[in-house]
Amino acid sequence: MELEPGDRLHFSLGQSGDDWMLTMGRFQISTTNSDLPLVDADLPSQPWNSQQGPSSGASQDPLFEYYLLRDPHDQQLADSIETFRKLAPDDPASIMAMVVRESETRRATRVMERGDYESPGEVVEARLPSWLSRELGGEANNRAEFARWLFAEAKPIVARVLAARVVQRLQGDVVLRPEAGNSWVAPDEALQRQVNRLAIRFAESEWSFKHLVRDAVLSRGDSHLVTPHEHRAARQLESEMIRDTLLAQSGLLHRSIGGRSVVMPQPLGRSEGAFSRAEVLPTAAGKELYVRGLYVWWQRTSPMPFLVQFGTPATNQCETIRLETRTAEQALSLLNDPMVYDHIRHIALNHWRSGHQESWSDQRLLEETSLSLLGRDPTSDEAERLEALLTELRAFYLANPELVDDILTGVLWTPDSVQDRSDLAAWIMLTRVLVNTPDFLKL
Amino acid sequence: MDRRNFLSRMSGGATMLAMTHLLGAARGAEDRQDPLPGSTSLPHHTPKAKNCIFIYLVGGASHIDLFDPKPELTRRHGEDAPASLVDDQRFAFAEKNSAKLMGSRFRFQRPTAGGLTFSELLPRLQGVADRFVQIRSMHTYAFNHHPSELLLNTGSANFGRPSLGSWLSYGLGNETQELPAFAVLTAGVASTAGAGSWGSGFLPTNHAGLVLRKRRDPLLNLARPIGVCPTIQSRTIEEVCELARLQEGESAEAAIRNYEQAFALQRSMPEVVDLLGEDARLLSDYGYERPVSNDLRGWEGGSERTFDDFARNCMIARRMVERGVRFVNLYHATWDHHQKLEKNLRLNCEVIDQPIATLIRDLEHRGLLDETLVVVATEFGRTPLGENKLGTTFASGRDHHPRAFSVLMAGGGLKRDFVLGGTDELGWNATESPVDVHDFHATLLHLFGIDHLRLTVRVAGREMRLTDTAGHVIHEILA
Repeated sequence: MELEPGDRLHFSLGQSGDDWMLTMGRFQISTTNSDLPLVDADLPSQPWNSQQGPSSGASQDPLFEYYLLRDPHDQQLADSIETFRKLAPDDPASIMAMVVRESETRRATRVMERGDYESPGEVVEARLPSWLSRELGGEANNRAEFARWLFAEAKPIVARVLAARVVQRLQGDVVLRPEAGNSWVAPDEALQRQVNRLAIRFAESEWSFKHLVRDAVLSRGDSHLVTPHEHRAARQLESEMIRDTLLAQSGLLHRSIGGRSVVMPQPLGRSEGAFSRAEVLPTAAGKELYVRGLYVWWQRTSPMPFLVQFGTPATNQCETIRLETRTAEQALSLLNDPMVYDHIRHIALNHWRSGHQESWSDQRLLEETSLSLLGRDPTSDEAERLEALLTELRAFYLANPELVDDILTGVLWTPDSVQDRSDLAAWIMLTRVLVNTPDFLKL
Repeated sequence: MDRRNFLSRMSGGATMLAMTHLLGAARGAEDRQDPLPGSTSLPHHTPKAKNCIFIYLVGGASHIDLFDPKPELTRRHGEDAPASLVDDQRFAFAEKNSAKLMGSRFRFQRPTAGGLTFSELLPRLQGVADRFVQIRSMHTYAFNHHPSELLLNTGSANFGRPSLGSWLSYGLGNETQELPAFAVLTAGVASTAGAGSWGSGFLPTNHAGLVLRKRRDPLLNLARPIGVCPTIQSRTIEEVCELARLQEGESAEAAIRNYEQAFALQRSMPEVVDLLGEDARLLSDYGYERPVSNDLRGWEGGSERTFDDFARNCMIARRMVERGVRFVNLYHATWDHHQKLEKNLRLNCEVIDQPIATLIRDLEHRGLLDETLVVVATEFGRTPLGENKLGTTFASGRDHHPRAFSVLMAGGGLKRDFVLGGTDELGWNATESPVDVHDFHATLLHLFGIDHLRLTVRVAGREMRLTDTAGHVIHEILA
């Protein structure tokens, strides 16, 4: 292409999927043989100078403003920003914020005898535990002092507790273990040092959980760095995470954040022995069925069976460590639960379609499926078994097409040819095997 | 490849795998996590009971109408409630200032040599009364259903604690690989506390009671998904086990064990609830498909189906303990008779009388009663007063009464034909050998070879146990 001075080239960067398109950036280049940039009436007065580079905030701001006014989506953002600007007071010091303040009169607080709310006992005066009172110099006895102590830079106890919790969940290592006689032991000194370092960096990073988790994944023991792959921990996924993983991999996960808890449909006859509002509350439908486990309504008298089977404890108990359970009922859930089966079918469908579009080999498709479900490639022994199984399954479903129809009923998309349909059915069953292997449940 | 050829290529098949491992050691107490030194040597002493069928009458069955005759109350029927009794009493609904004493409308049957007598509503139970221990001096501190149900089933009036069956499962493990250690079967309407009564609280959830469904498959997820034929199901389980074998370690072993047990459960659970193979006469003795009262209007204890459900549950309970299930919990609701006590009691007793009596005889006939503890319990008794809650003109029921109630126990190392304790002449207070819920639990654990003080789990900074901070074994009722 030949260009003359003064010609302009318009570039638009985007990424598109089946039914969506994301605009990632647009720019134009004006051609000139001068040292000075062309002045264009349509562009802001301070166009982005390539020699100045994108790191210059001063040059980017006008460009940012410029595009805010031209893209309909960005225009909405601009309107929102303007609205917030109007709402913001001229004097930031005038902004009111909620704070904790001790009341001048205190409500009488009583011991409830044996935890029974119907049996109020003696009045309890507000005071800190003696050990904590000593820590605070024996003076303080209110919540504000306590809160300051919790977040004191000199003793970052909250940061340390949170760091220990993250380490415990990610690595499966117990940072502190209870012992008889109300004492606690730290089983691993190196682990203690790791937690201390993480806590300090956590506080320094302005309490960024993202930072903390990344830090915890990348560090272990005496500060030697390892790759995340070496960190496949032995801990079992928590029940909510098992469900979320299946949903995410199947592409069905409804990722909205916030909102009310959602009552999941109860399996028939499951809650008939328990007085249960779950039977009268409207149950989830449509995409609500696929919300994260965090938003699943927990009916105390008749909780969601899948969550119970995989260890969600009674919600009124503070469980610092979820006890891992391995039961035949869990195996039955992963094998037979209609919800799990539906997710497995869609997980297999997603990978199978990608494989077809990208012309993946069986080996590649197996690796991709394994990576998404087990977090790793199959070992050579596993791959050998699974490939042999795939061959058997393909032959079986080619010979039994009526079973293929049953398997694909209700799947969001299905291929047309007999060959492809039986192939997809075989991959679904192979995926089902992977979901049932022990590593699927590991963090 | 047809299905037969496909199966023939399986290397032994899941059936073979399952058989091999099922013949191995039963899962037991080694599955416990973080046991304390005291709980590693279970049982603590020689157990008398191996299994328990715990029949729970939800709602508070009336002791003075069913188990604890009070002729003096009948004589004083209609008198004002004595101020000395009601002044410090809390009621759910009754108005203490105007409440009247209400004697039982039912006669009691001729007592056994040991003094056991049941209401005329329970004629068949009277026929096996000499197999029972009757505790007439039970008392509790919780006077509403939810906390009281929890207290009786978990030892705490607050939810979140392990149930009795969970503690036994945790402490003693599962005797059978093919069935759960703790099963729950329900009949009638729903219980207030629901899963809280059979939950595992802070124990691992595999020790929670498994609720059997009345219809369809007895256990959730027993049926294969649509499109998964038996051939593929077997092949899947086999392949999962083979892949697990490629790994080493505890989780791989656990996975193999669980998939083999899952395979076994798919066969054993439908089998244990399938009564077709049972003798038709015995089924009839349990009361299955018996003619029932015609007029069920206003009944709060279920529907026409409830009669069969309860009879069936009793027989399934026997089949389960035969196969090694540690704790079978049968629920029937509701016995919460604030009104229409007479009709509700008649129908409820019609539901339970024949099946429980036959269960006792059946267990005895099979030589199982000595090692099987049968319990019939409820969360509290009912007031010797008629319930006169505001707005009612005629008291036809009774209010909650935590001060006294009765439980029945049989088999499993207990005396026979024995009455423990008693209430005052009106059935108001447990006056003789009072037994609180913790004593009751301590005794149950004792029968299973467990010292209730030593089966503990550390939670929230202290050792937790079924009996909380109380409980004494009731030695008087032990054989």
